[in-house]
Amino acid sequence: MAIKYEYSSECCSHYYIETRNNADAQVVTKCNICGQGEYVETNRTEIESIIEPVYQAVVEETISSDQE
Amino acid sequence: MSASIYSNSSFTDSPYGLKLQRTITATGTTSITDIPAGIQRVYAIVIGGGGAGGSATTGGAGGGGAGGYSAGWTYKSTSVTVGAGGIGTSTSAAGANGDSSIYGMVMAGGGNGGGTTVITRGGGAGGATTATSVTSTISYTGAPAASSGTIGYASGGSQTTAGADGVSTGGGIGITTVTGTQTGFAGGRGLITGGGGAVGTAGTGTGGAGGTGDFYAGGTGSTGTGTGFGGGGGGAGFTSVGANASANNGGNGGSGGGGGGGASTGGTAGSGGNGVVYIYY
Repeated sequence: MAIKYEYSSECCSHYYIETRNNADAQVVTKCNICGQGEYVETNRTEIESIIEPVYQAVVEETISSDQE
Repeated sequence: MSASIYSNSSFTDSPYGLKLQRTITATGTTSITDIPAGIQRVYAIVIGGGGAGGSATTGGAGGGGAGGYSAGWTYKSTSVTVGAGGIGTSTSAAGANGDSSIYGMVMAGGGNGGGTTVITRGGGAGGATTATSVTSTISYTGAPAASSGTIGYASGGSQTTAGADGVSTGGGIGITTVTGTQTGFAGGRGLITGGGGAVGTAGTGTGGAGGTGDFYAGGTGSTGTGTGFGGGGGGAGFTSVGANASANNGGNGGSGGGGGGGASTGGTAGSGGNGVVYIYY
């Protein structure tokens, strides 16, 4: 089982997510935006770590050249 | 008339600039469905799993190769796969390869497992795909594969001395000589490094160190007299140091693709470090 951890940096409230196996240590602990504060956990959710791969083709809209 | 990316809202898909928003280390395939709807393209750094060290009943086995390092733009995908490092064992055999990692169209291969008895070669480093034997693979950006002992983006595993240098590096060769004072060969130096080769001698043996990493150190080989020593150190990963060898067991590769250290005479080889994926948007 994998865990999705959600964090907010204590310095600039940057929202950041790590998905890790249960026993693994946090990988990024310091805010990677301003480098000042620690990431504080705000939520965690159990997720399935092994799923069938899902590849979703991106459908691009055709943008008319005169569409501003 | 042409469309301007500065005034056409269809192009404002990176509203945050580029920030590290997600780090995925859970091995296997995981669903990602909560990247904001306005984000259509992201930048990804993808690192494959490291190869395990080899194991041998007599003498020293080779170190595993490092996982590949790839970075680039991709479409937003709803799934990510993080490759596990090869698992080291005490069964006399070449080490298991690391698994590939992929997000969208950015992919990185696993390192090759270190060699065993007779050919105790180091494993080649992964490029865009998983390495085969001593030979690395072409990088995601097109840098060529490297053969035995050759410097490359992903370098080759050693068949003679230390692993060659690179971004991802090959493992050091193990030493088969079982008498006298023997010192093993290190993994190559680089960003993510290969494991050290082991020695198994009745004399004084020192296993090869894991390759020196740009961010983190490789593990040290173990030293002692007799075949109960001489394991190779684990290679440095992208996110942590390689583990030191203990007795005749190889050290595990660091997290983020470090190669495992080779085992000496009946010991357990070091496992490769798991891969990792970073997503920026």
